Amino acid sequence: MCAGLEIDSIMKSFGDRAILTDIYLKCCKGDIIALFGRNGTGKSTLLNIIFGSLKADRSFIRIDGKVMNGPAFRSGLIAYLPQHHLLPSHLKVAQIVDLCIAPEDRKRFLADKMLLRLRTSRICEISTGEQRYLEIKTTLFSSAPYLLLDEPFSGVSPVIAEHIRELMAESAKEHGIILTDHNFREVHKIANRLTLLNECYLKEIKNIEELIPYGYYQP
Amino acid sequence: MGFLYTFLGGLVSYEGIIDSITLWLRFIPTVGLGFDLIYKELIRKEEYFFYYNQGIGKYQLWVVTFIVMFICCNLLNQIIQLCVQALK
Repeated sequence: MCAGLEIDSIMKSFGDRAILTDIYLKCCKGDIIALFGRNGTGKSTLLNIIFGSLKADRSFIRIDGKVMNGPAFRSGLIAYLPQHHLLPSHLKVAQIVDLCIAPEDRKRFLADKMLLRLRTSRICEISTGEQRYLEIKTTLFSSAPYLLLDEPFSGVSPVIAEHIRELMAESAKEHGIILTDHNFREVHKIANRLTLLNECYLKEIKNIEELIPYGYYQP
Repeated sequence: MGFLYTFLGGLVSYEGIIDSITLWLRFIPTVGLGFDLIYKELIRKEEYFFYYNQGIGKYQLWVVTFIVMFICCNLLNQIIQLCVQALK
């Protein structure tokens, strides 16, 4: 039984509208948990609460046996890839690598034709897709043991999406990953657990056909 | 704004330039940082996540930035004052 990332009793409302009710989820190293749900069901809200950038009405978060009393990101045990861009636009790609990637991993990180070509470019000078790829790869190479990825396949080409899947599968050997995405085909290939956020509750999907009513899976 | 003030101050007199520069050095870690904070909060809020992923909180970031800028600007100010004294 792993200690892992454990979240329990998460509750969040915006005004009178309840978004999350009694959410429980456990993620161990080696897990790639897919979180599905229609727009507005609270997927990004849940990830922000786990990360600590948003306060829940009620929450209990424990990472590797350590209870998080403040924002979880302060512990350095969790990294988050949000939907929006997060890299400071004035920095160069090489500077981002020096700041975010451990020295022993930099050679492996830059063994990549695209990133090697962009090494001396500033973030504001590269395309949106290239920026997204850099953000995803930086997050997957994070030293934090648990990773939260919010729509990582959004805005990337199919070739890059294939490469990201390979990176995720490799990264999952050392990390526990929770990801959300509407691209079921990409996510289904790599996730070992599927969950669905619907009407404020989180449900573990045992049978893929349970996703048919939500439009994620066509038999 | 700091540069503009320095330029306008320099138009008045030679001594005006030194006073302008020292005032500008006090301006940077206070009013200048305040404007930068407002700009970041309104336009570049998403960049905070880059620092969160390194385990650095927002308030921690701003406090350390203020302390470093305050020390550097004061040090530079002292050096300029010493140079002015030496030239006199």
